[in-house]
Amino acid sequence: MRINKIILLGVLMSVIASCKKDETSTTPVNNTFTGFVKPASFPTPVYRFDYNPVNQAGFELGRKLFYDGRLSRDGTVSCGSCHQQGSGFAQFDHPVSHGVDDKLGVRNSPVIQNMAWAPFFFWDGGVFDLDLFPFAPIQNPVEMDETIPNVLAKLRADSKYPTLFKNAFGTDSITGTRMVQALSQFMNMLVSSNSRYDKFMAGDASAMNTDEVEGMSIFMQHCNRCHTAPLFTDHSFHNNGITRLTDKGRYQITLNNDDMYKFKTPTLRNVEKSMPYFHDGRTNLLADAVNHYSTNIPAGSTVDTALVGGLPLSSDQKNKLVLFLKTLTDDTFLHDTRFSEQ
Amino acid sequence: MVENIIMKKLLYISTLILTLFLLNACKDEEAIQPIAKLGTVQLTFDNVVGEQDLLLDSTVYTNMFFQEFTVAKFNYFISNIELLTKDSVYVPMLQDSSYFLIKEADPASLIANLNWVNEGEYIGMRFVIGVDSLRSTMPITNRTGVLDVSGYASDMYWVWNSGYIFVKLECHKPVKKGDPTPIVPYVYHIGGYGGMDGTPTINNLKTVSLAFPEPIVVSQSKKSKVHLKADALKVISGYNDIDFEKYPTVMLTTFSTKIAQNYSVMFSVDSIEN
Repeated sequence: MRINKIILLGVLMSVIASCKKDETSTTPVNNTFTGFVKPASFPTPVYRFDYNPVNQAGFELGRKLFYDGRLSRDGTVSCGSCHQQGSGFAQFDHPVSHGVDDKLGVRNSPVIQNMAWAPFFFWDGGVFDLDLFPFAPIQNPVEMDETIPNVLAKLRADSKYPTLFKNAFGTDSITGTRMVQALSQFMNMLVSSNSRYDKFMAGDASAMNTDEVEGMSIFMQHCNRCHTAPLFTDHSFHNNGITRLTDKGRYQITLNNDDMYKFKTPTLRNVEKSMPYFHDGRTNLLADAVNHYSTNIPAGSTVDTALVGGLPLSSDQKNKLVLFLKTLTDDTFLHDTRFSEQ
Repeated sequence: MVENIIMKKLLYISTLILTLFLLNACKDEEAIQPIAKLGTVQLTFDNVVGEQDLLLDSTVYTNMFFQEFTVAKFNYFISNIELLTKDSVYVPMLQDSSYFLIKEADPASLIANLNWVNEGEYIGMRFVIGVDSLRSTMPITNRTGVLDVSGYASDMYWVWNSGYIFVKLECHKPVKKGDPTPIVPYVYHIGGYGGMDGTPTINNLKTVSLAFPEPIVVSQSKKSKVHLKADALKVISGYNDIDFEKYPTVMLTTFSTKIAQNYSVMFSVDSIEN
């Protein structure tokens, strides 16, 4: 009887213990891994971290996937092919993205940084959740041209991936959901918040010179409305007068005439390094990109009214704007080896 | 001595009860478990083309413009199922468990079980064709099974404009065996859940209400069945007759609302089985 009681007590205790919500014991072993840290000057992220918190194993798995060409049909194109760290995870030298068989995309591949704050992805904002994003380039015939089942089969057949998935998610089951969650963990870690501008704003007056500070005040007056600090984007869609009639931008998503030729405001962080510029990659020079805004932009049904006719900027002001934009370059981020192909 | 045994037994039983109670308390859904007895309602889907059975890639059918076609693919989502009581009250099924993706090519998908239905008589049902906006924008971890965009739903999802395809009908112009001419497809991929807050987009979600020919009587002891028919011909003729030559492909365009209006009337109740 006594033994029975002890057993019962044991069962009782274990039942009580099992009531606790499963608190994942995947605390990173390596103490140097900081996980996702929100910079003090940034707003609250929009990414739903509750459903996919960043852990070291997930981040490292995501990084491996990001640089793995097997995500493409013929093994030649990885995410990292069109999103290179040195350009803020955009693509150097290519006005529009390059896919398998040297096929060309229709738009300039954008930077990947500060994704946790982005409510929309793609120039037209067609994807609203970072987790859903990778499915698009993987399956796009002019990008990676592969199917998700094929990618998963390749990962399952690999000698390392099952263990990496186990470390990140608890079991070695390789699913599409886990794959994109790992990629999100990697991309969410790509936080750029350590530029000279950030240091200046944090109180280091020596981080920017007088011309740059002057450029900043011009920027705040004319540009900040859309390229809103500190993320330097309003996450909204505008027609800035750069149109190609074949690409209707946001309209293709909403089918709303008010959205015709509108594109998402790109962040300007690391803009010095992320040439070419605009959604069609039409220019390689930052000065040319700035200059567009002081040209005589014709009115159009959806052209942003504040831009019609061009912004009243002198060449001195434009020079200072360019100088200011270069203070948004974040060398720590661009050279952070945690984010590089290992 | 006897008392001692009784005491021990009492202690034993009470501990057991406490254990069971605690075990039960662990379940999250404990709070919403109704006291009533529960039964199962089975929905079966019979896909047809007008008066004819739907046979993929074989039977030649004719649309309202006398254009011939075969059917290569016919898939659709239904969700948010509710049963109508005799007192005209719609009882929602467990929301999480009432998403079904029916694919003509997958016989297993033609049967949908609604579990945990309160015992009683029901005179009709209501459901949504498509995947509601709330579910469409939930985290990917809340969209498993038939909603897995990298799994079973991968051919029912637009990755460039995040959203499920609610109804997919793909037809071919019939060709004679051995005819080398390329296939002429007529493709209808219809979706659009209404968009995010602040950016309304096309809403092709349709609610269908159906009356049962006689009430189903749900009980714990047996499965009630509702045999539904889905008429693919209605997708191209319900309200608006679709000319294959004029509209060989309809996806996310404003015209898609015409097709959505069509499929809103594609369902009927064939029979019920108690």
